Amino acid sequence: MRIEFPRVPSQNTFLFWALGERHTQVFWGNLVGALVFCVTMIVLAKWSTNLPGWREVIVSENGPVERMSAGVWFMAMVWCFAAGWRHFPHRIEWFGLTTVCLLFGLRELDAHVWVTGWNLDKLANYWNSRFPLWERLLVVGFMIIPTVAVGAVLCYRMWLRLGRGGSSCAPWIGQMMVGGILLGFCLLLDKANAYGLPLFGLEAAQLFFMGMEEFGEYVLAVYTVSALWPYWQEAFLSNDTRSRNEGTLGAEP
Amino acid sequence: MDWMKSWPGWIFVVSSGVLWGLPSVPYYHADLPYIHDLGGLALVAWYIGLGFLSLGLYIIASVCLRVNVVRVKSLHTIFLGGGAFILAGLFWWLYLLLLGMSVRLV
Repeated sequence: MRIEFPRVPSQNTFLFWALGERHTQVFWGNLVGALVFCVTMIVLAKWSTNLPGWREVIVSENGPVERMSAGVWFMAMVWCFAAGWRHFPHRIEWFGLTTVCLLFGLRELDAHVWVTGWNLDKLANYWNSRFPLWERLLVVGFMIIPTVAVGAVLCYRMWLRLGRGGSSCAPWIGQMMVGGILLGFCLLLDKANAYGLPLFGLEAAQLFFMGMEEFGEYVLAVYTVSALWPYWQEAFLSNDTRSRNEGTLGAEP
Repeated sequence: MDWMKSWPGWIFVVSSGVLWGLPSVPYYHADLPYIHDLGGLALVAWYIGLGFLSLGLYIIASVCLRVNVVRVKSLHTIFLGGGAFILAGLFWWLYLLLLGMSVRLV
């Protein structure tokens, strides 16, 4: 069965809440599968690493969950890159996804802290004179602007396909929405740890929220791989000539 | 051999590699200037190498175990698998190089 990127199934319904049962099962199945897989791996990690408690397994920096999460992101990065090389007509989408996965993997390894010695995530650091000006300019010129450009191109290409994909009920829309909800959940927990809990006097619950955040990030990584899996299989194992010389989506935007 | 065609099998391979294969790399030292901290880049190289290894294994296993055998006969797919193994080796060589430099500097 040939799976297009982005897939365009035949059923003619509209978007997430009105999808046919089969398509709803695709992305909820991805999510449930990712949840079950992550719980299994965490139990396995606890059992096999002899760490004293769940805190060391789930919450600790460079702990098993964070390492496994980073491993999955870098795996996704490499596979997206290879898919872009193999599936030439959609190389822009694949290389855009490669960049996204690389950024998530680097973020998981705290590269935003050690790559320069100051935290790239904090906006105030960019006009902090304690850090060398050339260094801040290099980060903006060679990291921030290229990343924003790649993100903008990727969003633009997806936006152009949204109308057509929506009218034909393409599963990638639902998959992206579920992924976005999961990402929002992780961001919310991250900010809750930093600002929300002290505000409401819930510092005692910080460990729980940190664990939930790390778990959510791991689920997001596994969910991404499960959603991209059929596209990768198609890209790697499809007929070469057709894959490299023809666009499977038909007219390019 | 259905697991060969499923994502859990291959994420399990990668997660196992990370859990039990990743050496303990001192990649983050809060008290050291960043230029001494090449261990971080070394760790990234290690992870990318693992990604290429998983890709190479997937392609080669697909061919050897005749998963989707009609399709995987193409030469490009074989090259992709072989190329992935070579790149995995290159990235792990880079990992060792960066780690060695990091240790010398520290």
